[in-house]
Amino acid sequence: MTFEDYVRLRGPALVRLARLVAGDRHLGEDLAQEVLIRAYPRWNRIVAGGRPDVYLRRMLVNAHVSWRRKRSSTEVVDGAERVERANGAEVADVGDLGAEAAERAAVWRLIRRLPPKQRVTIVLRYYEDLDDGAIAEILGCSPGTVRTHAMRALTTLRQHLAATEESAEETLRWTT
Amino acid sequence: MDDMIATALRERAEGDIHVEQLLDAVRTGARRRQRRRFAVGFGAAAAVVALLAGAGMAALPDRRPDGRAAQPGQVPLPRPPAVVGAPTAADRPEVLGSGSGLFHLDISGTPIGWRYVAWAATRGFEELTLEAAETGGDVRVVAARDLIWLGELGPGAAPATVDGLPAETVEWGGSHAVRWQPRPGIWAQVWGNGEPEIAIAVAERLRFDKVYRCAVPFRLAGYAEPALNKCSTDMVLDEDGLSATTAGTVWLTPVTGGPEYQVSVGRSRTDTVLNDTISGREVQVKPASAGGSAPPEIRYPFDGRTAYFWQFGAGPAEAFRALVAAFTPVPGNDPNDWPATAFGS
Repeated sequence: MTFEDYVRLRGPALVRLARLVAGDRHLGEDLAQEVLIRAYPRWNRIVAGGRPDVYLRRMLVNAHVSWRRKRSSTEVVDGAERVERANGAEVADVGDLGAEAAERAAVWRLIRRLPPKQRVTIVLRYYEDLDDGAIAEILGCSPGTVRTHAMRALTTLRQHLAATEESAEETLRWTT
Repeated sequence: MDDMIATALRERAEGDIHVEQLLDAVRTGARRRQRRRFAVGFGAAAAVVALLAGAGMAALPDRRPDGRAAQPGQVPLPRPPAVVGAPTAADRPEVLGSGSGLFHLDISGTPIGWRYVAWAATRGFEELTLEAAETGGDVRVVAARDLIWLGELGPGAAPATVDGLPAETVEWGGSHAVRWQPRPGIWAQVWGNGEPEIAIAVAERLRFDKVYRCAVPFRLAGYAEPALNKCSTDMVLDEDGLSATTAGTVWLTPVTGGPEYQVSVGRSRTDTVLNDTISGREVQVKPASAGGSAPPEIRYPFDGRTAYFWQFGAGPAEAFRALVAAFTPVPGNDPNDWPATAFGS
């Protein structure tokens, strides 16, 4: 399979995954493009390895984690502000939506706030539908560590969602 | 809970994806990196020095005008041949990146501890790349009339000033970029290692009131001028730090949609092993590396120098070899005597 064939066939899936891993649509698209640029000159070797999907996903995750590490503290603040601004916009956007849509938006906001490896674990498990062994291969850790990431992430999500529900019920009591 | 997570993720992942645009961007980005790696990539500074140090010429005197011996790293930076009377980018921004083989970008003075400075022009933008002690490593300057040639600055840009003009800086992987408009109609961007102040300091030394021409020490007989993609004239400080040498490189695409070739002349390398003959010339033909990280290469040693040919992208071997047959070295060591174009007889 040529590089072009692969990108046409699997590129969209990689971009979608990158959007989730980066937690931001545009950053994700930049991330996917960056990974493909790095993969292009070594494509023959990647294909010879027999599992380009796994290889590129691992590249993507590593690039994202590395990128976050390298960014200066100023940029992290800027990035966080950008996420918060996006959150604010989303909260306003979902104001008129149904309860389920609002809840999904809340789940996404929480996923985006998870530490990178926990977020990647959740994305690979629930979006890519990969088992712990496959996720471990991409993250470069043991399946046990993957289970730990997943458990911590899900605990965080449940706690925050429960708190959000309580807060909503409280608001409802005071406004009706 | 599980279903809600899966649904939330699916919703956020969806959206238009233009695969052909993505492919174009990837090809462009990869090619740019290859060019940097094999042409002016400071990551391969040793290779660049090897390529250029023996190329011809413009050896500078080892005495300063006051008669004292020059100190290593204090050799005045030589420039490509000046073009007197040509419109400058300061006067007419539209000449910048016009693909004329002229350079409209310069840096004032001599960067302290400079080792390598290259001017390059291509249709759309012009480049100045330099490596100096005062810049803490390599710096790349791009100037263009249209912002599109400067590429994405990336997320997290912060406000700054260059010569009192509004600018923005961004950090990526340990490098800092600064982007601003030095004059109406001109965009410029400087990438440097280390602190953003380095990029800003270089930015404040750029000037647009000079015109130089690209000079290369060879011709490619039978190739037409429109095939030229990019032309570069490079200055390299010699190892003794007392003189500098000059060389030229061209990138060309003889057939639309076909591979791009790079032709450079430099010092002969000891690891060259002749294994083929092209038009009576003994050459070394090196196929692309298995991983694709190195493109096909041909080396042609002549008169104590070597011409290097690289091919970027797939293409017939005959076309690549034809370049070697068309190669005609230009004697002499002064870039002012070198032709302004590598094309024609």
